[in-house]
Amino acid sequence: MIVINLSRIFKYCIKSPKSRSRLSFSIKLLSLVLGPLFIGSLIPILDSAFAQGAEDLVNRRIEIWDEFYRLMTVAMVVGVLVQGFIIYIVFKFREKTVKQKEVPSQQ
Amino acid sequence: MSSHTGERKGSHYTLEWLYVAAVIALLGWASVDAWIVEKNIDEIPESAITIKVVAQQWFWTFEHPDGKKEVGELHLKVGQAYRFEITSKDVIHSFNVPFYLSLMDAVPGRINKTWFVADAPGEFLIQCREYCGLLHYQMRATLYVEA
Repeated sequence: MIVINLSRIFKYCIKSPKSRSRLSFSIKLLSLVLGPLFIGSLIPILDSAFAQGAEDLVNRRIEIWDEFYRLMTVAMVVGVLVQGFIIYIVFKFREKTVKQKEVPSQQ
Repeated sequence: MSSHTGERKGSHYTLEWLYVAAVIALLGWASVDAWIVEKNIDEIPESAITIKVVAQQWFWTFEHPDGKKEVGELHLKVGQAYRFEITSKDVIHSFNVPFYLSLMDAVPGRINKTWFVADAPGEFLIQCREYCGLLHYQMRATLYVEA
């Protein structure tokens, strides 16, 4: 189902030059957002790789609580984004604003 | 409303992609971050002193590297890393020090390992976290962290 929908979206996107330019703009936008985040996520890995020379004792208690609060913050932000988007969609397409078209009868 | 075959009128194309990208990026970052932290805290430092922990109904026995044994209490030094080798003599127990967020099952015939740095002096609770019989709730010991 997801694959079918994705192929439909893709077909729609490459149909007209206007759509193609929109798609390329979106890809650029995605890479702009994801690129720095990907590079940012590599920094801690490099840090831990270079820090292996001297033995620093990791305080598990502090590390675990830090991680807990970070993940809670991420969960809250994702929740706000998703809920906000749903509220926006519901508000935008509420019955009052969408004009109903009459469906022609079969007979 | 637009259909998937026609032109989209009045759509917020950029906004939608931004929304998808932000959610994916946040979840991706959280996954990488959690993986790194887990890797860091799983690694037992070489300087850690080994304490053998034996669980049995319904008390804890601790053995230091010099052979000294303690029953129902454990004395550790502040700032030192300790590796705990945990096993059980009868049923499954679970070694838990809530303050140091340490939790590991004690399984008969198997040695499980966990570790922590005792960084704060004081008295802390050690308890069994796996239901192990009638007096499970009394299967406790005291951790003394001394300066």
